[in-house]
Amino acid sequence: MTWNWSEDIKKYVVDLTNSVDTILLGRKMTDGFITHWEDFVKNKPNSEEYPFAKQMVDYDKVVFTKTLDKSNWENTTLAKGDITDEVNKIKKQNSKKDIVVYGGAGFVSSLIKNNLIDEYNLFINPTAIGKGLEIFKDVDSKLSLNLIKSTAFDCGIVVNQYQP
Amino acid sequence: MRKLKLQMQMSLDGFVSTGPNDEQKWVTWALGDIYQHVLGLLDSIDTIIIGRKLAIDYIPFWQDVLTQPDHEMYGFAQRIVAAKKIIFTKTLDKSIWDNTELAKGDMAEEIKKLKSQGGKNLPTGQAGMIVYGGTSFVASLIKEGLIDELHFFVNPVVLGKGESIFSSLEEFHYLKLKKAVAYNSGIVLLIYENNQRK
Repeated sequence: MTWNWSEDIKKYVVDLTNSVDTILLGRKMTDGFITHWEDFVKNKPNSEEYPFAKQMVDYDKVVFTKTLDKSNWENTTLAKGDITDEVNKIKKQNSKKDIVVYGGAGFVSSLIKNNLIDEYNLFINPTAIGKGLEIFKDVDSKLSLNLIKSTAFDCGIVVNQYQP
Repeated sequence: MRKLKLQMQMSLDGFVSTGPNDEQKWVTWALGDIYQHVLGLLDSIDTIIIGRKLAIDYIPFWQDVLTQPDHEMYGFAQRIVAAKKIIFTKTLDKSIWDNTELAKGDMAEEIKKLKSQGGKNLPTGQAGMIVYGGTSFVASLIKEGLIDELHFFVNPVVLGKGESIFSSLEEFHYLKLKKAVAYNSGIVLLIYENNQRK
């Protein structure tokens, strides 16, 4: 991935992050995700990424799991029921802000398969990696989306935004 | 050295074909959006590189379109038929089509030889070469780092599975974004340059 982001894409991510207040997480990536950002907030207060890290720590997080019994993380609850029911419950909560999911690949695949994603922001990095994890492999039949906008950033990343 | 360019239709999850006998029904055929770019690319080249498997259908198809002056892609067919076509094959002994030659040697060497030959002088510079497919032929060209410029029409559709031109890469392949254009039809044109030109 291209990690030397240009200013224009940083702004895109800030705007996207400010538009949400809840993060959905698959169980497998939860511990790494939360530990990473908590550590960041504690140890790198002067970093450029600090405001983002603080949002990741402060936002409500919902972990989707069949195996965990309780959450040991801050600002985190568990969702153990049917994925569609649980996500719709969160969507109906009274908040002016939206919900975001960053991964992992398996969890996002399930969300897509169950038609639960309302907006895709796909970051296309200028690198062909040959093989890897896909989020669309569980789609059974052709899925048409509507292009909302496409933005090319100075660092070579293109973000395509689609809606169902 | 003249450039080898690639133009392909792609799904938003990166596939270029649903598999053998793909009729590209998943492609958004918004000719009004993309035709100028497609013709512009063809006007920048004088040679088409093509794998044998695709050539067998492709060449007769465009020859047939040329007999239909009202066809919406008549201008494209004119250019395709007029261009020199190099067919890469291990099995054919001679070409049965007009304006075609066979390349039967090592792929990388044949391509490098073609690149070092001067193309026609065009107002825009030296004429390059283009390849449109098929999937496995393009995958081999990419793996060998032989494509200099990549033009993808990214369609607003998820295929879930299919054929990829990047699946045989053994290492990461870094590209440089040259331009991105979003069209009203939902197609996004992505133009990349190879950063590892050989």
